[in-house]
Formats: sequence, C-alpha cells, structure tokens
Amino acid sequence: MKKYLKIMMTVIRNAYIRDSKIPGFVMVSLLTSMLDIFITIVFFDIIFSASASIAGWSFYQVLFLYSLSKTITSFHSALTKSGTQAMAHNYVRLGELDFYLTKPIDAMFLVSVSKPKIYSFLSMFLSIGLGAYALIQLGVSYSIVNAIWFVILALFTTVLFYYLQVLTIIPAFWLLQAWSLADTINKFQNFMRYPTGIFSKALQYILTLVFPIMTVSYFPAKVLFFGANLPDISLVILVTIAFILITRYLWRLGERSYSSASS
Amino acid sequence: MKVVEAKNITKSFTKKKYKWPKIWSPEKTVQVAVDHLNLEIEEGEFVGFLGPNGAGKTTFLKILSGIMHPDSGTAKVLGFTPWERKFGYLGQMSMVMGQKNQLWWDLPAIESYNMLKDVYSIDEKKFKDNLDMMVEVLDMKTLITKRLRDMSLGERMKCELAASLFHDPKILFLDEPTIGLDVVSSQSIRKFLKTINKEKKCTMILTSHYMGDIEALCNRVVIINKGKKMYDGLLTDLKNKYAPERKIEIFLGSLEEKKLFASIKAPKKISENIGIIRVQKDKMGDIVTEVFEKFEPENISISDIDTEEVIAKLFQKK
Repeated sequence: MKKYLKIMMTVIRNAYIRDSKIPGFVMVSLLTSMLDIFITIVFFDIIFSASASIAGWSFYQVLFLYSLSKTITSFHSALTKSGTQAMAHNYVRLGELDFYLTKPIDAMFLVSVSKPKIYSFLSMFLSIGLGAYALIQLGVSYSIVNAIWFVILALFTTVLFYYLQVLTIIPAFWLLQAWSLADTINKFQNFMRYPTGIFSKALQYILTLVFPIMTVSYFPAKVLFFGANLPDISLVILVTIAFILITRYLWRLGERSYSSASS
Repeated sequence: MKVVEAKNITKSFTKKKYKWPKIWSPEKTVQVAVDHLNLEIEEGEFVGFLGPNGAGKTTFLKILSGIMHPDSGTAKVLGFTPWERKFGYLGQMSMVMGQKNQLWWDLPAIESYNMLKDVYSIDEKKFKDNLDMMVEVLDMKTLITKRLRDMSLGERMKCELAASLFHDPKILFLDEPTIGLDVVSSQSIRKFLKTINKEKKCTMILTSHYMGDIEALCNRVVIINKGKKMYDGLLTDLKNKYAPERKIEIFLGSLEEKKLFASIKAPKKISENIGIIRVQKDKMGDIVTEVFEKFEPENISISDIDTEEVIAKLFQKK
C-alpha cells in the first residue's frame, strides 16, 4: 500500500511539473468546470421553480448530490480517468500496454495513473465548496453517526466508481479498436446527480445493482440526509466488493487474451 | 545455471473476418507465430534472435517476458513461469523495445527515473550509483534533465536503456534496440550493452535486423523462421557450416591488374574495380600466396562472408 501511495505521489508531482508549463490549459479547464457547475445550477433552478422537491429531495439536497457526484468524478478525472481511457484508445491497439505488464506492480493501477490531469483537482475543490454551501443552506444539524457513515460510504463509492470506469473499457482487450468505450462512463455520469426515486423501478434496479452508477452518489447522500440504515450500508459495501471482484477477474481474463501489437 | 528453459512453446493468432449475412460465423484465419519452440539459455549469455519479418522473434520474446500467454508449452525464466507475471519475476527482468517509449513524453528523463525507482522499490543509494554509472557510460549528463520530446531518437534510446536497468535486472529482453539509429548511436549502445552484460552478468536476448548488432554482441544466435527454430548455436559455427569460405577482395586500379586477376584460377568476379575471390578455408594457402605475389598488399583484404549472406544461404538450404 505504501508503495502504491508513493507512486501516486510521484505521479502527481510529475504531472505538476508537466502541467505547470501550460497554465493556459489549466485555466481553460477550470473555467469549463465552473461553466458546467453554473449550467447545472441553472437547470436545477428551472426544475425546482415548478416543483418544491423531486422524489422527496429539496433543491439543496439535490445540489449536494450533484456536488458529491462531481467531487468523485473530478477526483478520478484528476488521477485515473485518462489512463483508463487510453486503454480503449491506444494501449491495447498499439501494444503500449506491454510496458505496464512488465512492471512489478498491479498493471490496472499503473495504467490508470499513467495519464493524470491534476488540474481536475481544482474542479474537485470547487465541487466540495459547492457541497459545503448546499449543506449550510439546508441549515439542519447532522448526527455524527450519519456523518461518519456518509464519509465511509463515500470512500467506498469512490472506489466503486473507479472499478466501474475500468469495467467499461475492459472489452478493449478483445475489441482492440474500441474508442467509444472510453466515453461510456461519461454517458452514465449524468444519472449520478439525481435521486433514484425519479426513475422507474426497473431503471433503479439496473442503475443501483447491475451497473451501479447511481449507488456511487445517491446512497452516501441518502445516509447523511435521511439516516444510516443497515440495508443501504450493506448494499453499498456488497456492491463495491462485488464489482471489485468482477472487474479484477475480467481484467485478468483480458490480460490473458492480450496479443500486443506487431513490432 | 539455466536462466531460460522453454519447451514446445506455441502461439498462434486468429484473425476473424465478419461478412454479412454470416455475421455469426466469421471466416477465421489462423497464423502460427511460434511453433513448438524450445530454448535454453545459461546465465550471462548474450543470445541473438534472427529471422525475417514475421518469423515470430518478437512474439517469443513477449512470451518469455510475460506480456503474452502461449497457446501451449512450458517455460521457466529465472525459475518463474513468465506469463503468471509474479512480481518476483517482473522485478528481475526488463524489456526494451526500439519502437516504443516507456518514459513520460513531456517530462525530463530523470522524473521518469524517479517514478521507476518507486515502481521497483530501488533504494536511494543503489539508484544513485546506477544513475551515476549510466550517466558516465552512456554519456548522458545533459540528457537526463532534457524532456523526452526534445531528444533525438538516439538520445531517447539511451534514456530508455538506462531506464530498463536501474533495478539491476538479471535478464534483459531487447527488441530491436538500435532500429533507426545512426552509426555513432548504435555503436555507443552496443558498447553499453556489452559492458552491462559483462560487468553485471545480465543475461540478454536481442532481436535485431542489423547484423552489426548481432556480430558485435552475440556469440550465440538462434535463427527462426515461420515460428520454427532453424539454427541454434555459435555464430562462428553457423558461418563454418553454411559458408565455409572466405572472401579475398583486391582493388584493381588498372587494366594490367584486371588481366592479372583474370589469370587466377578460382571462382571470382569483379564489381566496381574490386576483384572478389571466394575460397574454401582449407584451400586458402595457395590462392593467398598467389594473390600476394601478384598484387600490392595494401590493396588486398581478406574477410569472412557477410552474415546476411550466410543466413540467406541457410534459408535457401532449408
């Protein structure tokens, strides 16, 4: 674990050295992120002008849900997203995965952190600020137990999101040219910003268990606002463990069938 | 001690062609890349892999390095099954590919080296000692602080080679490390590899299309074609077996010398004022005496047949 943290720190340091030379790029990314947040708030404002709540969630609760999902996705955008996307773009097709497979370290981890975009941390901090603002506006006091469970579940679902992200690009091992896979997780991300109650039962089931993208943000926020309960906590923990195991198993299968690229 | 023991390694690739309306039963073309290949390599050997494009050299190297799984066969490299990719094995091997970079493109090489230091858990002293040694032997003092994208191909390859050796691997797989390099860069890399092989007793397996690499570095060569081993032995034995002759070249500056050359009774030809005689090694004496009697010594050179030619003969015979 210590070794992996050390590598992560070196990756962040190296990315800083690289990105500090192009501050314009960083500024544009920050502005884009702010624009995204602004548009989403305007959109929520329009929805809530017609209704006091959606699926029992108030404006600021939904805003918090959005900020939580944005925090988690920005964290992965900073560290792991581009690396996993590169798997679908180049690593398998051009045989660039070769080097990652010959290192005495988990190849999935090394691939994931291979193309960090640390300026996405700025977006993460913005989202945390937005979440804090939403909580203050809600003006309620939260129990310590709920707050602790919120933190624990948010950590679990941050891991869960990573494995879902990896899962979507694993077919690249067999399909080789699978560029569109890199974008799959982005398509699903929008589901993370709404309470599950707005969707049909079938869709809720799919998006919390089959491809549990909604589990990532919904359950930690639910525990904070509506209280910790065993079914929700168990669901998050079990789903996370299940997807870790499934993803790692499929990754191993993918590695077995990896045929590199001709020299 | 045997470092590599591979038995009956076979690997094939299946290409599928999907055609409407038979989309569920695509046409399959199976190409055998490695065909029941056996190989044993002792510690500290420098083995050259030769063969035409598509012979299966790189595939075999990738199987031994753990990148690919074979279809069948067994292999032990440093006592490990390579494709199980145990960290114990990966920490003792390294791979260099002439056409690919493992270092960060937008960063100075030293930053990537720091990353590799963490990946291989190299302690500070060993890292510093190895870095100092590489900088000196590869003459790369100014290079390590230069960004990879600002380097020439030769400079990049020096940095890539250094990157592959910080953790003192016991076995190094080299897949065309000098491809595209100029003569000076190639020579410097050959010299470096020779030094590492000798001083660190690092076993090396090299594939290259440049015969110069093989001749300068490898005593033993393995020649494969269509995935099958055609020859495994010393390079000198290969030459003796398939080209048991030597080449005498004489510069013919005048018509008089050309007439004299024509009078020599041996298989010969003239190419751009150079008279070339091919003689069996055991019959050299008489011809050499005659040549030295008729021509100025500074215009005569005697050499082995080019290795390329020897290999071409080997392929023709098989």
